[in-house]
Amino acid sequence: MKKILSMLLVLILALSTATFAFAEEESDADYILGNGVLNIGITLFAPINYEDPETGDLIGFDTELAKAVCADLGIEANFIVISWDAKEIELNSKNIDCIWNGMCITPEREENMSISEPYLLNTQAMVMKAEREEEIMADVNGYTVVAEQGSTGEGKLQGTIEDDDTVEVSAQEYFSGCTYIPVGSMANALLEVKSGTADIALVDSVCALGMVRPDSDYADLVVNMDNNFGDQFYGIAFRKGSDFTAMVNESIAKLKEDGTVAELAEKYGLTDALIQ
Amino acid sequence: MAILEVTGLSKHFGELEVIRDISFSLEKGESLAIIGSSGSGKTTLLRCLTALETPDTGVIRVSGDTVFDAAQPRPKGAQARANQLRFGLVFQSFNLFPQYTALKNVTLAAELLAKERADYKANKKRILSEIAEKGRAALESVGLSAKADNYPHQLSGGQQQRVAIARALMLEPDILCFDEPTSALDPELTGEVLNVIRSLADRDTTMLIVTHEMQFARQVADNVLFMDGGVIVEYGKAEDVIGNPREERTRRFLERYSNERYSSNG
Amino acid sequence: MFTPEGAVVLGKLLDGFVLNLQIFVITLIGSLPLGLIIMFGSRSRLGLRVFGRKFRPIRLLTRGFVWVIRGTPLMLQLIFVFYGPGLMGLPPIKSRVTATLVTFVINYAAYFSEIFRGGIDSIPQGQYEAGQVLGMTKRQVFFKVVLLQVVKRVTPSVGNEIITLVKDTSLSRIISVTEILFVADNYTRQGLLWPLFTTAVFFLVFNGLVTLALGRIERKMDYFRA
Repeated sequence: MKKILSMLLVLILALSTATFAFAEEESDADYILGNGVLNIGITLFAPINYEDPETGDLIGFDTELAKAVCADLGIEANFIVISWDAKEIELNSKNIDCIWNGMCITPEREENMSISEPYLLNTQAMVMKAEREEEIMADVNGYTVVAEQGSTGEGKLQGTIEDDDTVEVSAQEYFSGCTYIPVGSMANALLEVKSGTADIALVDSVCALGMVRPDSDYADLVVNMDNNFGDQFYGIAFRKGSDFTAMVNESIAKLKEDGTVAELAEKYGLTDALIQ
Repeated sequence: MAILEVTGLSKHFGELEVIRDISFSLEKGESLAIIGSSGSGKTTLLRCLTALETPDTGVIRVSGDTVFDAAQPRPKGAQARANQLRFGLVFQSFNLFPQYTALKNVTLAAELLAKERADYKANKKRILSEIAEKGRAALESVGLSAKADNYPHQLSGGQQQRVAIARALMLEPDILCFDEPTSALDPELTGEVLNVIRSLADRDTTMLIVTHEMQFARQVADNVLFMDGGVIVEYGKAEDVIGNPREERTRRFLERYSNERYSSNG
Repeated sequence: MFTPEGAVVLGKLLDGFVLNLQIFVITLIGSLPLGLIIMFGSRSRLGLRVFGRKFRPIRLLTRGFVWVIRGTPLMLQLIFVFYGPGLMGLPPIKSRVTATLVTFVINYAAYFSEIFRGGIDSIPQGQYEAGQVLGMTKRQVFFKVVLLQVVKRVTPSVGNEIITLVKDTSLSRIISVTEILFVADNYTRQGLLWPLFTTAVFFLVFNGLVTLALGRIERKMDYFRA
């Protein structure tokens, strides 16, 4: 039985590494430009990549920025909705060519993928029921806090992402008296708070502000940013070692200069978050 | 006094009146064969007697006790089951319980009945061994002592039907009913079953036999009842009804029957 | 993976899988008898005539219930059971595992009830009639005559559901039960992919054992044909 088990493991490993080995053969830029299409992995959330509820069209800050970059490079932008859990697998298996989805830059991600220059500033926000804000902010100990599994919020909470000099309050210390539960997505984190199965959601401020609006079902929640748990930067992820990253960086710089990026930021209420 | 008295029995399914105003009686130790073409109502009559169907009208009396009266509310519970046990029934398709051995098939019902006895808990062992002994005797009477521990699927059709007969005998019914007991059997297996029934007749078992075997009915039955279209057409001594029928309808049935018999046998 | 860290990861996966096994065992213990009860409900003849049509409230209710449970995704039911009370202004459920167990027991009971119903309907009428003419009560006919035949007939289908259940336990990660796939996801998000694929081994090994056990049960009933 042990023998069969270890043989199975080896087989699975061999299969999964083989996929990555092939990826190295051709220049990534040649591969993408040769295809004439940039396959962009996204998940749907406002105000980054989302469907306009009235028209059903895909819109959002990242959506429009990606389209502008692709137009500049003379290729087509093709958006593919992926499971956030599987984003690395999607990227490495070439189902997608990049992750352009308000992704925080972390040291780990920088190690595993090739990441663009930062283009948006993000911070971690606490989301809770409006009627309970006072009570929770008075003493956070004893409450249940949720964050997206693998997100920056979780990293900060558990201390796996080290605090840098932008941090004013250490999330790990601040929430040390709380019960932490990881959930599948930021949207799920807000659902937990709304249904009362958790008290606080620690999520990206960009995402929280996009979802908690007076016209949404989360209108009874509030976004609290009293504590600055540190700043993060959004970047675009490409396959590790990709030479396409530099081309995108160049293109974004060009779009910044001609004012396109600032225009987009204003349209989606992200002017303050824009990195000049 | 007759052991069985049936008066004015009728039954309809939807629009169709399957049996109509059936009356007859049966003496203790008598065997009565019921013959007739398919659809004549003979099986329905048997099912009405054994409480598998509820007649619309009529009265059934066993040894003077009313076991069914369409004008009265149906008895329930213990009384209904006591009435039920006045009759035994052997099915065309045996209906043995596949998960039990031949012996257990024979003894199961008796064991369940014994549980209701007041002294069951105190004498459980003795009661069960008596039942087992009686079951073996019942199997012996149908010549299947050797097959007591076999499961139904290990037995031939003829053997299965003999177990079914032993199972019915075990509860000592006043009247033992057979519903075409050999119709589901290959021709070479009918003999062993008919022999068992014949030996029961020799021991003066009171029997009602719905059958297609005319020769057998003539030899074994004391009386024969011919049904057609849901009514009794002719009733009389076996050799009279089969050997020398009075009614035109009986004659036609017997003729057609023997023709079919010959043609199907080549 | 044959490194010290590999051992730690395998240990964490095993911790997660223990949760899958707990959900599996408790769901099985709860849903088989509940399935039997639901089956009785869906076969209930209790009712009355309304304007010449037969109206059987218990049967109608249970069949409607089974339709809803079988007609909606298990994952959605998990979300509904766990988040529903809080969203409807009731006290929220605090235990994710409890919500999972409640959902799984109900869901699998509905499937089992239909399998049982099919099994009972397939038993020939003659078995009931034979029991009746031998003076058995309805209860005796069911338990002494019919039940074991039904068990034999439904074992292959029930076995199929049981093997599906082993895998379905992983759906609980949608409400953040830290079962094996949830644990493996943690590593995937860190760029470590082998743990995710290795979970397959856990499922395969356990389902292998389940298959062997089911085979034994089927062989135990080989002595008769039904």
